[in-house]
This record gives sequence, C-alpha cells and structure tokens, in this order.
Amino acid sequence: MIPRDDIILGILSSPPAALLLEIEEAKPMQRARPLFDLFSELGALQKKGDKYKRGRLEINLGEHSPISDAVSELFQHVAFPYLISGRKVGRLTPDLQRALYTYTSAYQALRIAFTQDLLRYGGLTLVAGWFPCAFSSELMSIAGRDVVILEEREDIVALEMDRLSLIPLAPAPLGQELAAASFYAFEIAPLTNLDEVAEKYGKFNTAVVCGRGADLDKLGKVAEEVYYIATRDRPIALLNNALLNGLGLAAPSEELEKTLRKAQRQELGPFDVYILRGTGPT
Amino acid sequence: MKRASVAVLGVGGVGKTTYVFRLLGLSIKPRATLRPGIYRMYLSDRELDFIDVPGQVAVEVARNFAKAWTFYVDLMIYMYDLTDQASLYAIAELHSALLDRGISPYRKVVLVGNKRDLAEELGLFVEGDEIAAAVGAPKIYYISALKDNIEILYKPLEENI
Repeated sequence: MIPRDDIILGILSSPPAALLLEIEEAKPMQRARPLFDLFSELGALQKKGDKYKRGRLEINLGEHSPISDAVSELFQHVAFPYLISGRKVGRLTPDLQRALYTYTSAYQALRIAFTQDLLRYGGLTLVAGWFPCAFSSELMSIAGRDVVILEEREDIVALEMDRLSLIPLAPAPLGQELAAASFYAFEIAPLTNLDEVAEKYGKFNTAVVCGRGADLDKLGKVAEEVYYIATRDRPIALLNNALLNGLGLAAPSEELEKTLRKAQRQELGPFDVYILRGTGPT
Repeated sequence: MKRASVAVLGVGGVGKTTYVFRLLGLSIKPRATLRPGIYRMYLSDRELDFIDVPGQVAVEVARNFAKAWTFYVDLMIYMYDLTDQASLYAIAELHSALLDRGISPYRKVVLVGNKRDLAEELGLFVEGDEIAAAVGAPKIYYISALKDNIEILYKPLEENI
C-alpha cells in the first residue's frame, strides 16, 4: 500500500546514511541515539547494549524513483538535523517544498483505500494535519466530502493549494450531492485551534488524522466521528516523526496512545485505523 | 522534473476512475465519482496530475463540469464505452460545452474507447472514428481498463505527453 522500498532506499542513499553505513561499531552520545535507533530499525545497524554495530541488511542502492529521491532530500535536510541535534527547519527552500509534496504521493493508495473502504458518502470533513498522508481530493471525489484542511505551516500545503486550484471550487459545502465542483478550504493554525475552526465551519461530520499529534478528545467534541490512522511500520513511523518534529509540526505523543486504546481498531494494509465515535455532536 | 496535467472526461460508467486507478497500480473497483478529484502519478521523468471528473449517473454533471472548466490541461482524454453508442455521442456534446467557452482548454486530445474485453465478448464494437475527427483527436485507443496490462494503458500518456 505504500512504496516502502522506495522510502527505505531514499533514507539509505542519503549522504548522512553513506557515512553511517561505513561504521563497524560506534557508541554514540545520548543525543544522537534516535538516529542510530532508526538505522537499527532498518537493519542497517545492530544495537548491542549501548553500542551499535554494522547490521546484516543487504543494501541494494538500485534504481531510484521520484519518491526515493524526495525521501533522500528530506532525510538529509530535515530528519537528520533533527535526529542529531534537535534542529528545526525554518524557511523551506523550493526543493524541500517539492520533496515534501512528492513524498506525500507515497500515501496516495492509502488515501484511496481508506476513503473507499471506510467513509460513507457526504458530510463536512476536517483533515487535522495534512502532512504526511496528505488527505484531500480523494475525500471529495470518492466519498463526496466537503473538506477543510488544517495545517500548521502554510509553506507545507502551498503546492497542494496550487494543485487543488485545478478543480472548480464550490462556494459553500454541498452535502451529499453529485456535483461539478468541490468545496474545500485551507486553514493555517496549530492543530489545537479546533474551536476556532469549528466556529467558522460549524460542526464536522468526520475528522481524519493521519500520523499526527492532534488532541483526539478535543477533536471528538467538534466531529461526530474521528478516524486516526497510524502506520505499524516502525522505521516509517520514526522517519515521519523526525520529519514532523524537524518541521515544527505536531507529531504523535504518548498521550495519544492512551486515547487510542479505547477506540475501535481496523487494519488497512500496514496501517491501523482507529475509529472514535459518539463523543461529538450529533 | 517536468509537470503535466491530464483530464479524463466522459459520461457516467465508461470507466474513467477504473482507468486512473489502474494507472496508479490499484485494481480496486471504484465507487461512483461524486466530485472532481485529482490523482498524482510519476511517469519516467514527469509528474502527472490526473483530473477525474464525475459523470456517473448524470450526463448533466459532466456537461456542467465542462461548462465550469477553468483550466488548461496538457492532455484531454475523452473516454467512451465501446459497447454504448450514446456514450460516444455524448463526447461530442461535452466537447461542444467546452468549446462554448471560446478558449481551447487543452494542448492535445485523444479518444479512448474502453471496455474492449466486453465489446469483444458481446460482438458489439462502437468505432469512434467519426467523433474522433469531430473533436480533433488524431488517435483512438481501444483499451480494457480492467484487463489490459499497464504498458497498454500507459500508451495514451506516453505517446501524447
């Protein structure tokens, strides 16, 4: 459902990885451990106590794809600086912006399968955090949803705004009908600013969160049902969290796991979809 | 990376979304398309935005979409069902609705007849030459979005973008 090999190839073919892959044995400082842990999860290193040794992963740095090139760029300029020093990216260069945008296409099959399999037709839908899964037009075309996309940085969604401008925009939510235009809107605000969003658009029928650190209790108050999507693929989750943190975006927290324990869970390929119903408005 | 946009236009049930899903590597049976949507794919060194247009059930919606068309695409794929003559004639109607706006909405146009497998089974094959000439499409592709291998499905893109 996701091009995992392309993503892993992207990480392993990045310049920082080239250096790490030459290591026979290392005992990193505490601060650098998250980086070494990621490479252990990939199998490129083996964790032995507080040391890391060369792993058994057979690395074939073969044919690249647009997604692997994008991941390589993102790993070098966003994930690696965050993992090694906690540094966050300020202004996005056009190349980074494009790489982020290209990376989101890795989740297109997930978006289609989720929308087709799990969402009923029609309704106002909040996407709480666009990056990395990038839920947007599939919700409109497949499930006839009116969509509000909430993201914390405008430069993250700029290319998606540009792309969506290709399709006719309906002036107001359409409900359930078959239509020649779609209603969509972007809101740039912290994911915690849900009350303001609800005040502007009214209550939502559905909220979709994918791999982000949204407040599910709060979301449950502004939406009738909340879908939380999480990958079970540990290296991909670690990469995404490093990207989110490196970009200064809300990443999933431990608190979130507690809330998800009481949710209904459904598997969708390598993803878990948690469904919280009945907590919000009716 | 070069970017290009493609739109697939035709009336309901001709297989537009099935075709797009197959190009994306998905073999799932799509629901009826309710609103316009965009899908992204990478074809060699190009990033393609695929605009999929609703039309299932209602010719009117496709016609309205053609009237509301606000953009220019690199390739327009007019799609019809090889077993349904009405879906072919509707192409001419949609084309007129687009041209009524007075500007050319695309750089290149092709006609695609879908459901070739079904047409062969039924022995009912609606040829599109006349409509292709009317809309200025230099080439017609006869495909089965459900059953053809991906190389065949890529041809309208590879040969025209």
